[in-house]
Amino acid sequence: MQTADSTTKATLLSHFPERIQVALSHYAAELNLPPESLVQLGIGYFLESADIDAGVIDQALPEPHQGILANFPKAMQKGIEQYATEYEFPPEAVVELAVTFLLDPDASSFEECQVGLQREQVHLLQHYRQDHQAEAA
Amino acid sequence: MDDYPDFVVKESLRLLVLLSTAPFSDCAPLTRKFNDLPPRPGIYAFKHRDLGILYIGKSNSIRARLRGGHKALGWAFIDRMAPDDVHIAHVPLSFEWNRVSYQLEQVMIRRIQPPYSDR
Repeated sequence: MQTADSTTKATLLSHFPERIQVALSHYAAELNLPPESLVQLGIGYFLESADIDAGVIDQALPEPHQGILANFPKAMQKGIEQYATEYEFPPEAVVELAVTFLLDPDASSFEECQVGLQREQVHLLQHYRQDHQAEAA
Repeated sequence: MDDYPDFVVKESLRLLVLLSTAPFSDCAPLTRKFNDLPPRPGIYAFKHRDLGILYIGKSNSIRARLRGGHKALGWAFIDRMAPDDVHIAHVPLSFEWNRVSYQLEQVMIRRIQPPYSDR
């Protein structure tokens, strides 16, 4: 999976509320991943469950793009936009849907999200990550 | 239910009717991947062929929520329900309605008190 540079990392996480940033850091530590890569993993899982190619191993550089989408690889931006078009959600809201689902699959928004570590979600992401590492090998 | 706005209560009850009256055969069967469920925000209900709604929940992706495992499946198993006697009814939520999905869900749960909904 592509990881962003340090400037992009700070920008990506800064789009989320502080309590969400903290929760992402806890999950990232559990999975031994940078938080930014964890976000991409979560979005990849969310999009893939919708049969949309998430491009989590895409190596392309992000296109110039406004807002939070600018922090993601091009293929992931396209996947987010495809989902947004298909289900009539703003692209930025798709990111919130996916990150919220990563942290709490029963929540609808950051505001409602329970941020404690959920073991089932950790296992789910571990399996998803392993599957993609095997595919990439 | 007086603590929620009227428009939320009204929409909740409308969606509850849709979930309750959806023919069992039209609801999604239990499978490993739940590909019959939409990968989008919505409200879902576990329905038993004879007992009706067992559980009401919501998620940002109904398909991914079920695919990741669900406690209601465990309870149905412990209660000796046959997998073919349990299906999933679902209604999608738009961007605007998804912002109040917690309220929609709570109104529905209070109204019919599904046996497996304890959250």
